[in-house]
Amino acid sequence: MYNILIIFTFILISLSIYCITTKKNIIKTVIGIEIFTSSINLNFVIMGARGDYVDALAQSLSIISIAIGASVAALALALIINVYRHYGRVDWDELRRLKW
Amino acid sequence: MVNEALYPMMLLLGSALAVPIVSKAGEFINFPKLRDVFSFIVLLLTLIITYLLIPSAPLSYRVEVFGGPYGVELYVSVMSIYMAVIALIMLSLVAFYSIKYMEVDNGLDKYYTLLLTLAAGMVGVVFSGDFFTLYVFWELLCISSYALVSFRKYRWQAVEGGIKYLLMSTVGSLIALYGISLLYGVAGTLNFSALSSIISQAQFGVPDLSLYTIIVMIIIGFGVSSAIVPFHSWIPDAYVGAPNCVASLSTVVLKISAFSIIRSLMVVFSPFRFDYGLILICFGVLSLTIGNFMAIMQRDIRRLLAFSSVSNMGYIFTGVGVGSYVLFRFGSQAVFIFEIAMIGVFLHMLNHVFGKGLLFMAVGNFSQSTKNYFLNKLEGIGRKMPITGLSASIGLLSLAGVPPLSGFWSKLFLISAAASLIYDPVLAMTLAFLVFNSIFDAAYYIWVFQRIIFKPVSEKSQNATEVSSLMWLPILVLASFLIIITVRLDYFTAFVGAALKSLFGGG
Repeated sequence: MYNILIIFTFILISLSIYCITTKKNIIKTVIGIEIFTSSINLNFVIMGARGDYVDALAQSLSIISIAIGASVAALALALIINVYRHYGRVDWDELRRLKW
Repeated sequence: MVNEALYPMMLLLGSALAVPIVSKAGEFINFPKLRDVFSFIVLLLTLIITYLLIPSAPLSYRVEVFGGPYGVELYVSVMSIYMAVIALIMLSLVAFYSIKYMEVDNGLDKYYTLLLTLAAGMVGVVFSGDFFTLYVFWELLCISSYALVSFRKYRWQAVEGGIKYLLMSTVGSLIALYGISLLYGVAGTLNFSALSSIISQAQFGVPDLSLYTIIVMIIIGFGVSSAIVPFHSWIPDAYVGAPNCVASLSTVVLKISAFSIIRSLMVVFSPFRFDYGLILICFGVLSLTIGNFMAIMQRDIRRLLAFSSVSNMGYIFTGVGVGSYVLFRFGSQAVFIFEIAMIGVFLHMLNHVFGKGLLFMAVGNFSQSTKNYFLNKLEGIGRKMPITGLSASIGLLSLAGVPPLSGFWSKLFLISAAASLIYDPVLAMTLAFLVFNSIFDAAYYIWVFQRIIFKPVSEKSQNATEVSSLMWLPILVLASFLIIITVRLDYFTAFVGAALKSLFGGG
């Protein structure tokens, strides 16, 4: 049972890495990062399961990790608003002005 | 009774919360720089408290609610105090420098809050004794650092550099967290010392291949933030976008992430059994070479310094790699070479933090009076601004590795560690790369030095004058630190050598 769940989280992580590396839109990249965070939290909770009880360490780490992921996403979205103000689009192709 | 290990973080986090109140109070008594002075004094006080922890090290503080002896833990060894003191010296000098340099910006109460949470994150990462604490403080450090890099959000450079830094570094730390979760799955705990005793057991029953996967994930994850080569592309953009005082702090962030790699790998995975030295040597040699080649092509001095940071991280990673490689290949008879390599690594961290921090602040001073960053327009400015020019030339010569200065000695330690077992093909290749790159390094640093100091003064910098003493004083202090390290090298070498033993202990 646990093995299936671990393989499931691995598939989710592969999907999110695909999303992060291929999408042109910055907001979609942030969505990919959120999926990545959630699947790692899921992985922690699965790893903490010990048959009939659950390790408290994994639970507390995943709760804190959810909070951290939310703050990173908030900061990323705040920066994306500023990207939109400066560039007019939220697209990785636009963010190529810094050279030399 | 509160444990002593908690004092620095309690002070930093508490005063980070207090900064907005202090800021209001400063406006009330008509002295708006009260918050600046307050954060500078807090950082200085934390520096003194952290320094005073040295006699009582190793300290540990455990939260044992999670059952059994191996809970969440802070572990303060002499080496972590060494790293924390380096970080806090830089932070307090940057806070002093920001009093004048950042006065054109709005929202400075947020700036100083972020500076103090960044300090708390750095101290927490080096003091952590398990992966849980490490990850939480790591993210505190990273989030403060992203916000500081894009602090001047009205400039498009800051936004572009900041979002590139944020996305790459976040993905990196998530990869590290995935590795940590797999490690938790195979070992059932996150405490460093518990993990090391579990993994070293012979009947552990997990194949080495899966542990190597975890090692690579941890190296890549923290390596993105320490700008080793396949993952270095954010660093020039972030340094161009950030205010110069924040860029000089980013060098500390690079060292802290390298330290967390060193600490988690060396403690958890014994270098006698796991051959991650080879992986680290590959990353290190790649960063050295590509960083140097990219640095020489730049016209903007900040990008040049950023790529030279990449190559200096290459020295550090190569040194760690050589140390753990000789332990794996030659066993306990090579401990001496391991110690030489690690002393070189930690001295190079010290030299590079002070030298590169100095150079970024000096570039800030140059731009303050000429408003540009291009090397061909900064020619001869060192003679127009004598104090900044003198300090910057000490920093440049130290990073170039010109013999009497301290940068030479740390590179010599690294090269002699690689040269001591020359019949080994990997070490011979590493030696060749190290020697070639230290010559290359010296070449372009001395080239920059002669352009800034000796060339005829370019017309852009004709009217440059020395900046206010609030801005040259921290640079002068850093330059004198570099000279003190040179003069008292025996003390620093002995200190780092003694602290190395604490790197493996506890946690």
